[in-house]
Amino acid sequence: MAVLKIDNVSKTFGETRVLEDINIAMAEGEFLILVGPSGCGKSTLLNMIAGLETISSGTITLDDTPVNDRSPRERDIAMVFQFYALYPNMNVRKNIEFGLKMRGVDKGERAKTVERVAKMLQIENLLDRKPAQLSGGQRQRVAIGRALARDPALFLFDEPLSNLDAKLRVEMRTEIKQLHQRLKTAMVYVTHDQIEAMTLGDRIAVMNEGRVQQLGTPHEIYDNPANRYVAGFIGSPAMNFIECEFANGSVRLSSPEASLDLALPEATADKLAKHGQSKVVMGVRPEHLAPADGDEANALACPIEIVEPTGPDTYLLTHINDIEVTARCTPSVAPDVGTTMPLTFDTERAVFFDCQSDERIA
Amino acid sequence: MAGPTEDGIQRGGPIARLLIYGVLVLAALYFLMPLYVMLITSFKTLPQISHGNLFSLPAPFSTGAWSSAWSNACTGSDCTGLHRYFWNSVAFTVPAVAFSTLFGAINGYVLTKWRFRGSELVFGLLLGGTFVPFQMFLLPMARVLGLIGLDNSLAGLTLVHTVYGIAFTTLFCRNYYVTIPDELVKAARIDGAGFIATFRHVILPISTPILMVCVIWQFTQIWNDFLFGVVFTSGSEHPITVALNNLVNTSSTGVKRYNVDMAGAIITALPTLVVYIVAGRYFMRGLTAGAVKG
Ligand SMILES: Nc1ncnc2c1ncn2[C@@H]1O[C@H](COP(=O)(O)OP(=O)(O)OP(=O)(O)O)[C@@H](O)[C@H]1O
Ligand SMILES: [Mg+2]
Repeated sequence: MAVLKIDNVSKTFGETRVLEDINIAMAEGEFLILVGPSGCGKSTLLNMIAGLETISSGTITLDDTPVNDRSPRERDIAMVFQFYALYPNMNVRKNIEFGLKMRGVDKGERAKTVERVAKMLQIENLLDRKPAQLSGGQRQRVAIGRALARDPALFLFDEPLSNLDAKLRVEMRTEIKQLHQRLKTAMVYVTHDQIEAMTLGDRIAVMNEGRVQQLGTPHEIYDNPANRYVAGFIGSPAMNFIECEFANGSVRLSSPEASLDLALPEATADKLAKHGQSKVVMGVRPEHLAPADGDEANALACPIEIVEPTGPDTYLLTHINDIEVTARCTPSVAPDVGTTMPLTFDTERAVFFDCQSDERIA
Repeated sequence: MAGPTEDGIQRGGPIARLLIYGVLVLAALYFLMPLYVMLITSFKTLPQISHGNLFSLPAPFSTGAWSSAWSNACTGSDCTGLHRYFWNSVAFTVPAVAFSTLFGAINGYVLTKWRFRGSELVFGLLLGGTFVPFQMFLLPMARVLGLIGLDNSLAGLTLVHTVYGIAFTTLFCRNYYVTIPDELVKAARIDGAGFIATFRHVILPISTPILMVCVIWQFTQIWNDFLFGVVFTSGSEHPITVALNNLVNTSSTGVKRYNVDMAGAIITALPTLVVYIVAGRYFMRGLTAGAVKG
C-alpha cells in the first residue's frame, strides 16, 4: 500500500511551468527526501501534497484516496516549516494543541497529547513560554511537536533545519532520524543540503528545474547517478567531470606533464562503443582518483597545484585535459605543492556521460 | 565629541543639547499656547474677558461657561447646548470606527493571505480611494443615501464614514499583514483552521498595534468631520462639529460669549484627545512594527 502516490503531477503559475510530470510512490514508513537547488520546485511540490497549492494536472493520492480536491484539513498530514511558523500569541502548549482544538478534540485528550509530545521532545519545561522566549532550536522542536500531536499518516518537512546554526543542525538531524525510527511514520523531507539528504533518506528524489532527475536510495544516487546533474549535485567535493576522447576501449587523458591511454573495463567500453561518439565526459569522484601506491602502469603523472588538508582526508588539485580536478588521499601520503605525483583512476567506479545531453552512457 | 554613538543616547555636546531642548521647548510652548488661552478663557466670566488680559488666570474661577455650552447655549434657534449633538457624534462615530476597522482588517487579511486573481487590482483601486477628496464623494453619496432611504440619518452618516474609511484601514492593515509570514497561515490551515478560524485565532491576536492605528486614525477623522455631517444630516441630527459651528455663529444678544465658545470647542475636541492618550502608545508601535517573528 502506498502512503503517498504522485502521478504525472505538473504545476504552472500562470505561464511558468514550475513542476513537470512528477511521479513518486512512497511505501509505508518510508523517509523520502526531496533535494535540489533553490527554485527547483521542492516547496511547491510539498505544498501540493499538503493541499496548500492547487494541482495543475495529475493526481496526488494519500492512503489510496485521491486528494486533489481536499483541503489540508481533510488530508491526514502534518507539516513543519523552515521558519517554524509558531503562533506568536500562543504559548507552547497552545501551539501544540491548536490542531487538535480545531478538530474538536476534547480538553482532557488534548492535555494528554501535549504531555506525550512534550515528553518525547523534552520540552516539558517550555510549555508555558511564548515562542519569542525560545531559542531557534527550541522553536523548531516545538514546531515538530505541533506536527507530532496530530499523529498523522504522513509528515512533511520543508527545510526544517536550514535556519539553525551548523552544530545544532547536526544534532537535530540525528534527532529527526531517531524520531522516524521510533514513530515509523512516513516522512517527506525537503532540503537543499545533500549531506542531510544522504544521511536521512531511505530514498532520495533529486530535483532540478521542476523535474525529478533521479529517484533512488542514497547508494544508488551516489554510485549510479542517472545524469551529470545528479552526479554533480550529490557528493562533496563534487565529482570531477573530464572531457575526453574514447577510442579502442580506452580514453585519452593528459596532464601538463604526461599522457595516458586509460583502458576501461570491458562492459564500460562496450557501452561507450555502442554509443558511437568519441567525445565523452568521464565522471570520477575524488576518492576514486588517488595517488598510485607503487609504480602502477595505469597512472598519470600530475603536478599537484594545491593541497587542501581537511583533517581525515587531504584533497589535491591538479589539471587533467585542461580541467581542474580534485583527488583524495590520506594525509600521510599527501605530497607538497609543486611535486608531480602519479594518480590512478578507479575505472570500475568511473561513470560516463554524453557530451551534449549530459545523460549517462556507462 | 559630537556625533551618534552606538547606544544612540549621547548625541552631542552640552551646548548642542541645550540648543535642541531650547528649540523643542519653544515649539511646545508655541503649540500649547492656544490651548492654554482656550482653557483659561473657558473658565472666565464675560466681564473678565472684555476687561482683562488674554493670558491672565481666571479670577474668580467660573464653570458657568461649561454648563452653558453643554446644556443651554443656542445653536441656531435651538437652545439646548451641545450635549445632544455630542451623543449624536458618539452614536455614529463608534460604530463607524468599529466597522471600518473590522472591514479593513478582513480586507488586509484577504489581500495578503488569501490572494485571488485580481487582488492586486482591488488593492490598487482601494489605494486610489485614499486619494479621493471628500468633496467628490458628496453628490454620488447623497444620491445613494436617498435611494436606500438613509438620507438625513445617523445610520446614513455611519455608512458614509465606514465606506470612506475602509480605503485607509485596508491600506494600514494590508501593509501590516504583508510583514506576517505566510507560513503562519499555512500552518494554521494544516492545523485545520479555515478562513475565519485563522483570522480569529492567529491573525487578530497579533493585530493589536495596527488595529489601534486604525481606531485612532478613524476616530479622529470621523469625530472631527464637518463636511459629511453638514451635508448628510440636518437639525437635531447634526454631529457636534456642526453644532459647535452653529454655537459660535449664533449670538442672539449680539454679545460674543467667548468663554462659552471656548468651552464648547474643548468639549468637542476632548474625545479625540482621550482616545489618543489611551491608545497612543500603540499608535507609534503600530506604525513602526515589523515582522512578527516566531
Ligand atoms: N505563487 C507563485 N507564483 C509564481 N511563481 C511561483 C510561486 N511560488 C513559487 N513560484 C516559483 O516556482 C519555482 C519553485 O519555487 P519553490 O518555492 O517550490 O522552490 P524551492 O525548490 O522550494 O526553492 P528553495 O530551496 O529556495 O525553497 C520558483 O521559480 C518560484 O519563483
Ligand atoms: Mg522552498
